Amino acid sequence: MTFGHQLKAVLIKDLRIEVRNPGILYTMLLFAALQVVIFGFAFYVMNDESNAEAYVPGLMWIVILFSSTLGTGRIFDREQQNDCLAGLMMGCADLRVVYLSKVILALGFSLAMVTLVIPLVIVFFDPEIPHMGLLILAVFLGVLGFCFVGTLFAGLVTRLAFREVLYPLIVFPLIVPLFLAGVEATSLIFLSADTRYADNALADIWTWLRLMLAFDLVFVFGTSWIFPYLMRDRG
Amino acid sequence: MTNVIHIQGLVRAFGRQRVLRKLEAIWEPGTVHAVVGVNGSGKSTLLKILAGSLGFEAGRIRYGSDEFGHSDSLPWKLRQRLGFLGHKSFTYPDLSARENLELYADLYGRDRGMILPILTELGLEDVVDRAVGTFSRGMIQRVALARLELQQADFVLLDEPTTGLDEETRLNLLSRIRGMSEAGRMVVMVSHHLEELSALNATVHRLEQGRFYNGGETP
Amino acid sequence: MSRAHTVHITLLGIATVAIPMALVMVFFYAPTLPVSNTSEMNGVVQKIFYFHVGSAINMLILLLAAGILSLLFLVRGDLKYDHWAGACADTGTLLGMMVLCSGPLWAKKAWGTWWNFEPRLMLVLLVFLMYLGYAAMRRFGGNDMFTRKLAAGISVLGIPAIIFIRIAVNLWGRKLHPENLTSDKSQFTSSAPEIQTVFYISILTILVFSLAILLLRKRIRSAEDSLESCWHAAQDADIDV
Repeated sequence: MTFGHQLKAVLIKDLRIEVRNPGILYTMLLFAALQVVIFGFAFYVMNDESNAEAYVPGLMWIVILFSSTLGTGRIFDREQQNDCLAGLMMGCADLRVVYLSKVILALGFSLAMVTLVIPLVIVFFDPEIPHMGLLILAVFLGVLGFCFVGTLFAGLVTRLAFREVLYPLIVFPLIVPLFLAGVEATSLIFLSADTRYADNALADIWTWLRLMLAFDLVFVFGTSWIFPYLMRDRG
Repeated sequence: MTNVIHIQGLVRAFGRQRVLRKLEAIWEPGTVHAVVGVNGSGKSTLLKILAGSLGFEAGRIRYGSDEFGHSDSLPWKLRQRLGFLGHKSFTYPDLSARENLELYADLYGRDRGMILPILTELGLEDVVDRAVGTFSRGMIQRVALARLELQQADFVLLDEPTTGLDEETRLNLLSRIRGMSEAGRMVVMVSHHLEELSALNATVHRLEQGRFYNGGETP
Repeated sequence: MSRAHTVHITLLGIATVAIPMALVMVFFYAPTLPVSNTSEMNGVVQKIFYFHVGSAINMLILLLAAGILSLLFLVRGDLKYDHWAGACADTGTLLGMMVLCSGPLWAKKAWGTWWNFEPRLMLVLLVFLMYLGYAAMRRFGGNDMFTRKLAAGISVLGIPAIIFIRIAVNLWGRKLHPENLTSDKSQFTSSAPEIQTVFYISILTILVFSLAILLLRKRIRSAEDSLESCWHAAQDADIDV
C-alpha cells in the first residue's frame, strides 16, 4: 500500500464516479460557453473588430477562472454523501492521496473546459494568435495553479455555512498574480501579431510565463504540504 | 495483550459543552465492550475519537502497546488496524458493491479475490454489480459490514450498527460481531438495545456526564 | 498576566504621548512645500503622506507576521500562536483600511483621480481583500479548531501570494506608471531633512500605535478562550452554571 498504490485506487474510484455521473463536467462546459457569449454581448462592438485585442485576453481569462472555480468548488461534493470522506481519510496512509486525486480530477475538467473555451474565443472574436504554443502554455500554467489552490479550499469549506460565497472570497486573492500574469501574457501574444511590437513582446511574454511557473512551483508544493495539517481537525 | 484499549483522562468539548470529562477505561479483548447512555452523552464522540477521525483536548489513549496524546496523529500502522461501522456507510451510491469494496481492498492491501466470497456470505451475491444507490438500508449496511470484514481490523468500532435493519440481517450481524470478539479482536459497540447486548454477553459501560460510572457489568 | 498588562499600559501611554507629538511635528515642523504641478509632494495635502506610507509599511509587516505565526500554529498546535496571528491580522486589516482611505484622498487632490491603479496601492488593496476573507472565515466559520486552522492556512499561503502579487503588479505597473516608482524614491531622498525626519517619526509612531492595538486584540482573543476553559473547569467540578 504505497502512496502510488493508494493514489491509483482513489483515482480509479473518482474517475468511475465522474464517468457515470458527469454532472460537474457538463455544467462546467456549458457555463463556460455561456460566459463567452454573454461577455461577447458585453464587449463586442459591431464592425469594430480592431477593438478585439483589447478585451479578448481579459474575457478569456475571466471565463477560464470562473468556470474553473465553479467546477473545482464542487469537486469534494461527492464525498459528502454517506460521509465517504471520513472513510477515505481513515483508509489512506497519507491524506495527500485524497488531495492529489481530486486535483487530478479538477485538472482534467479544467483542461477539457479550456479545450472548449479557446476555440470558442477564436471563433467568436477571430484574434490573430502568432504564438499558439505560448498561449497554450500560459493557459496550462494558469489552470494548474487554479486547480491546486482551488481544490485545497474546496475540500476545506464543504461543511461550512456560507461556502458558496466564502470559497471564491478565499481563492481569488491568492491566485491574482497567476491571473494577472495570464492576462498580460495573452495580451502580449495578441500584440505580437503586429510586427512593430513583435520582438519586445516576446521577451516580456517569457517574463510573465516565468512568473506563472514560479507561482505554480511554490503553490503546488505549498498546498500539497499543507493539506493534511488543515484536514486533521475536520472531525 | 495486543488488542487492549486503555483510555486515560480523555477530555473533549464542543464549544462550551464538555462532552467527555477525564474519561478512564481499560478494556481487554475477549468480550464485546458496549457503551450505553442517553442521547447526547458522548457515545458517538468517544467512538469517533477512538477511530482517529476526531481529535481531543487532553488525555491519552493506548492501543495495544502504542500510546497517543491529543497532539499526536495516529500513524498509518495503527490506523489500518482500526475498523469503523457507523450510521454513515462510507459507500458511494454511484458505484457498485464490488467497486466500493475494491477501493477499500486496495487501500488496505487486501486481496480483491476476497470480495465476492464475503458478499456471498452476506447474501449480496445477486447485487454485486448493482449501484449501491439502489440498495435498501439493510443492504447498504451489509456492504459496510463487508468492508469491515475485508479490512480484518484488530480494533472494531461499531456505532449502533443494527439501526434500521430487518430481523434477519440484524441477527446475522450480531453473530458476526460475536465471532469477531471470539477471534480475539477488540470490539467496542455503541448501542441502545440492551436485549442485543445481553444476547452478546457484552460488558456494559454506562456513559454519564462524560464519564464511565460502572467498571463493567454483564446485564 | 500582569507583565503583559504592564507592557500594554506602557505602550498605550507612549502612543498617547507620541501621537499628538507626531501630529504637531507633521503640521508645524515639517515644511509645507508650495503647491506645484510637477510634484505630488505639494501643499498641505502632501501631509497625508506621513499617515499613508507609515500605515502601509506597518500593515505589510504585521500581515507577514500573521502568516509566520499561523504557520507556527499549524505545525505546533499551540493556541497561543493562533491568538497572536489573529491579532496581527486584525491590526493589519485596520491599518489597511487607513491606507485605502488615505490613498484615494491624496490621489484625488494630487493627481485628479481617485484611483489610478498605481502598483503599490493595488498591492495593499489585494492583500486587504485577502485578509477580509480571513476575517470572514473567522467571523462566520465558527470558533473550533478546524476553522482556526483553515484561516491559518489562508494566512500561510498568503505570504507567497503577497510576494507574487507585489512582483506581478510591479511588472504590470511598469508599463502604465514608469515614472512613479523611481521618482518617488528620488524625490524623497532629495527633499528637506525635516521631511525625512518627520517621515521616520511617523513610521515609529504608527508602529507604537499598532503594537498597542495588537496587544489589545491578542489579550481579547486569549481572554475569549480562557472563558471557554473556565466553563469547562466549572463543569468538571460539577458546579451548576
